[in-house]
Amino acid sequence: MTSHRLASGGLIDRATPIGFSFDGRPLTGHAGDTLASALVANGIRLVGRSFKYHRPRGIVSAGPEEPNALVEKGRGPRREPNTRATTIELHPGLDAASQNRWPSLAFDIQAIAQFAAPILGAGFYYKTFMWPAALWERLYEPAIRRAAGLGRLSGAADPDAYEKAHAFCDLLVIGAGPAGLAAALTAGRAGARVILVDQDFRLGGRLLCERVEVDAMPGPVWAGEVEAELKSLSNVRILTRTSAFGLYDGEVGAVERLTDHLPVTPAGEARQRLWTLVPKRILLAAGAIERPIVFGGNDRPGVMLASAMRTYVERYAALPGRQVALFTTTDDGWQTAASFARAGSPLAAIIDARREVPEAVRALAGDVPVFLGARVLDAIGGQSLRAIDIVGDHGRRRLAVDGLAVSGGFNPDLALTTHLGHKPVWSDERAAFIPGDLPANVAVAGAAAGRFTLAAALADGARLGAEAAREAGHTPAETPAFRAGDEPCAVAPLFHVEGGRGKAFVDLQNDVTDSDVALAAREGFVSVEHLKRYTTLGMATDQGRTSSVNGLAILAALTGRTIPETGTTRARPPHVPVAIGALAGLHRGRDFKPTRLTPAHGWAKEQGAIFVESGPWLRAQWFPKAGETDWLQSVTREVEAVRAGVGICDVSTLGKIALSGPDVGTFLDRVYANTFSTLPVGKVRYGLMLREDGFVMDDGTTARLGPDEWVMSTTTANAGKVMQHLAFCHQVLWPELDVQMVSVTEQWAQFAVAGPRSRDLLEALFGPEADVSDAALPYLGCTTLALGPTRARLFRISFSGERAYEIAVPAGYGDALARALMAAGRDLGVTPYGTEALAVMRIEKGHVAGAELNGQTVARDLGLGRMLSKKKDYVGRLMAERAALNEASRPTLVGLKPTVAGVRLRSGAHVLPLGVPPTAEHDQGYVTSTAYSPTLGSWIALALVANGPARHGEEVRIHDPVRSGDVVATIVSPVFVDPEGARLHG
Amino acid sequence: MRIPCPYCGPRDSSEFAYHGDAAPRRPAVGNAAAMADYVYLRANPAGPMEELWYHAQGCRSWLVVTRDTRDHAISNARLAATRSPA
Amino acid sequence: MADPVSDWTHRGGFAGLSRRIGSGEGLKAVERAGLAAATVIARRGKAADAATALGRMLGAPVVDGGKRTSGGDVTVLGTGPGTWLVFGDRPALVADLTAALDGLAAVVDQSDANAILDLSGPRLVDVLEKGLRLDLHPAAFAADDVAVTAIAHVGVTLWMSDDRATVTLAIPRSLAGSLLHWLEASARPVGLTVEAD
Repeated sequence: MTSHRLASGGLIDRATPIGFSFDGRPLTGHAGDTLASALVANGIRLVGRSFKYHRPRGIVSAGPEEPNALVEKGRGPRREPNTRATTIELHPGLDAASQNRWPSLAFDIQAIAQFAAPILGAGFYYKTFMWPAALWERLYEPAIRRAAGLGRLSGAADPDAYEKAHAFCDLLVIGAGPAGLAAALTAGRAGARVILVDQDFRLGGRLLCERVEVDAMPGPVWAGEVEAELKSLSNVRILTRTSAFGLYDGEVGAVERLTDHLPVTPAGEARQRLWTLVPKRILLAAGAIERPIVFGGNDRPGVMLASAMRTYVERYAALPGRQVALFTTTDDGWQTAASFARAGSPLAAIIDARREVPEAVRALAGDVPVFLGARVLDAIGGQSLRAIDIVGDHGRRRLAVDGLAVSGGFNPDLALTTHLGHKPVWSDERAAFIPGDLPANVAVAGAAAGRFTLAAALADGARLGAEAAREAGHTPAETPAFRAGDEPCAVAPLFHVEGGRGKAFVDLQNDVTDSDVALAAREGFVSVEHLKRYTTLGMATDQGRTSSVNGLAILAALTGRTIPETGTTRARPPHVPVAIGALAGLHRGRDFKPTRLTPAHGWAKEQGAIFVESGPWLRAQWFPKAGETDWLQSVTREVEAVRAGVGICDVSTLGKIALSGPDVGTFLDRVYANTFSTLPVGKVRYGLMLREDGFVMDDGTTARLGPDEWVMSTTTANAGKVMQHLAFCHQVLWPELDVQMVSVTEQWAQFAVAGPRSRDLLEALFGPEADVSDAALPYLGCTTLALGPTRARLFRISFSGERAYEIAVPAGYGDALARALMAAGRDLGVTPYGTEALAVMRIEKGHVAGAELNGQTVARDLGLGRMLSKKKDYVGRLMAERAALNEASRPTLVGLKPTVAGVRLRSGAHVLPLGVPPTAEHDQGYVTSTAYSPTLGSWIALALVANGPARHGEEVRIHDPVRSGDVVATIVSPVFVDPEGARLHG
Repeated sequence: MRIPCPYCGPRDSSEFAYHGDAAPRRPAVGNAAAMADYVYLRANPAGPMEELWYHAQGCRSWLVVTRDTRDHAISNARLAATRSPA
Repeated sequence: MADPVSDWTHRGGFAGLSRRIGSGEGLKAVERAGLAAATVIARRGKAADAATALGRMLGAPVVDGGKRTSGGDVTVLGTGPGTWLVFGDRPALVADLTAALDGLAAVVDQSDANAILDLSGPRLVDVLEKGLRLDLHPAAFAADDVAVTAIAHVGVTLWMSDDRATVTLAIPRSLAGSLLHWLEASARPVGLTVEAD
């Protein structure tokens, strides 16, 4: 038996001992323990060093409000900093370590900081490290980071998997204490769909921590019976180890810890599940958090919340001290006396700030010495509490104690109700913020509503559970009346004891003292929001659960205002820390977004393709052959093969939209800048689409395969955007047009067949019956032909500038088509080429693509101004006609060729006149696309240059400060290859 | 946030693409000043506002959604195609 | 030259992706390949007439809404206002629809656009809630309801059998691998069998 474990009682499994370690020291606890309770049972007081002053700290609470007992849990990549010992479920092999100490917890060199405390007050960093600025990065920040802060990140990738899930219900109950259980049971019995979440691993809340009875059953027994009944109801779902962390519009975010309590994560199991809960109604029954009192030395290990002391005794059978005094200003605090008496370790003294205490409360003390009208002035001790100085009607005296239970009242846990901007109101009667304005579908029950007795909690739960069930269309049989005590719960607020000698902490986690609050007030930071940011009070990961109200009460007293006049800060989600991994779920690394693969992807892989992301797709970038050592070699070979013979390229990724209906021509005339209503059947036309602001949105072709069969192609990157835009134009702008359209990108696999021998390849593919002659299929013609068991669409269009075709087959035949093209072209030396060769050839031809269609260019800039029809209205026409968009000085498309062969040009480099300094005022444009042109034997580029078309032949400076490039190039026509277009026609 | 699509029912907002104020209507004939207002000029009301949303990962409908900009409460959603012409 | 290729094998979206994940029998996914499919979009003002014509073809009433109607070998799914996705186990589906809907609707062949999975098994609902942002409870989703939605950023058209035991997902075929990535991760603890065509 460990030193501070009681011989009997508690809800731990004494038959299941659990070995764990803290700071490398092997210890034993039991199933049902938390790390904190196991440490208490082992008599361990000192668990960490504080954030700023490195003061020794112990466990303060028994729940998620814990500001002190933050530990690093786990090792290696699974090391997790700043986890609360009070919420870590003990499991075999648990390896926890204290934080923020060096070289050891007991001897921490930087604890010297506390003696420098007078200069480390609020605003210290703002005032001290202002000057010189140059020292910030080199000196101040690294030094501060070493001294302050808490745990260490592992620095390694998170090895665990996470998942997300959605669930829907009539009633979401947050908190499975008496109010939550009563609500879930009442609504569940009525047939409503209920989700009950609790952060704990066991249902019951305070029923597990107090000696209370419901329906004549001990609290834990009643909770167990309710749990059994809830589990028998198919309409009720219970999520334990689940923290509701945020209230969003109509939804609640919650994180379920699936494997954190297991020694080893089972293979394939997610560590945590991020829930989006979509409830019709929400019942917040999260209880209340006990409020500490601010007095000298109130952070000494051994000073603990009174309810937490009881929790360790009653639930965990662990004794937090053998000589424990109680400092209270509430009736509830006195219950601690009864718990300790039952545990055989009666309290040493009870100090109540009130002069009068009800007789029933007084009776809880038994024989313990009682000091009414008294206060604790100072807690004395270093790494453990040794004594307290009390002052009051009895005078001043010192009591030797090793523990101090503190009860300053209760703060209802209302954070979730404030996430959407609603504010709680202060109740003098309950000395607490209670629900005020609430979101429409949220109700609050029990202690969270400031109704602190057990009977009130149960009644609240039953009433609100029944109400929610009725609202969801269910009829509760009868609202149950649970029998429980109406224990005394009066509070006379006391936030702060002045006059102590030791430091009095308001915010334990961020090391903010009463004098910091006073300093802030003196310096004029009298708004609570300013106080918070100036002192960092309440800004730690505990979100000020134990500190905020005390801080603003002290500020109120200092500024002569009431608490309501002083106001509160707003809580924001997440209410508890959430691992980034849980928010990412499945979507990390390469799976951040889904990846689209073309029907012939497997074939390209067999060919050894190197793939590149292109929008959502993976496309073959080039196909290295044996012996090729770099990409440029492969790409150059592919370009030469196409220009000399024939190549094939998978273009299935281009967006394809089928259009039909009597008004397609009219519609296309309005969405394209050029005219389409005149397009005859069997023809393809290049089209330019503008945004309404006049800038170019996308380009592509539209083919008319039949009288009512149109197919538009878009760029790969803009496919989704164009579809959305067309739907906008149709549904929002011109719903009167009789047009039907749908994406057929997935239906068709499409290959470009390019090069002077491309027609020969088609003849071999389609066989002698098919007519693919220039008469039957001239440039910009299209047709449909039988191919194997299917029909193919054939378009004579070219991106490379060579005679070229695009052939489309239903996607299921895409793989077969690739193989058929290779087979049909074997004798022609057919070469598969990727997006790089495609890009080289389009740059050689001066065709614009994504780098030029960058959202900042108008048609004129791209040399496409003549495409803008003057005969019709279309999206973007009026805005494109603005004078400023038609000035010759705008950067306009040109070609660039370095004056020295072999010099490389780079995209993004700036274009400057020769002989001027490279400054912004001389900037005349920039390089958009570059390539090594095997046809010209030189690097070439497309660029947007002011007055570009008028400057062909001029030499300019291509300045690339980022990559230290400085090159002289000649402005030339953007069409480097075959400007007459002779090759297009073969 | 869930948006009540008139065709699909209530759906997660991640299925939708936001466009903005639904009030400006495209000028019918070529008036450059009116077009500039349509393209660039927007009110920024605190309160109920008609907005255009596209149900991109659903029925592909453009919707006119009435949303209160102060608390995101959605009071109405209808198909944009059924709006009366401007 | 004779047809250089005799092997015009038609491949479904999940071709080559059969697998067994985990040890349990929680979920089974079977590809449904070889179905003909078409998008039917009513001409302006003809949604009701197009629905009636579709109903005539099926022998069961079709509505303009997110509902499934089955008749013979044909299943009609409402996917948008005046829009239906039609699946059929007959090669002439597109031609039949075109004839039946002449003047009433555009009919666009989508036979190869979708990869289709039938999901069934004791843990069906548990796995689906890890990706679906929809309430499949009978009170919220009738057995003949159709949903066009997304799972793990993959667009899906979802419908179920009358007994609710099988949920069918039709997805863009290019995203078959990405959908399986989600399905594997979500079903691994309960066991998954994928039977591709």
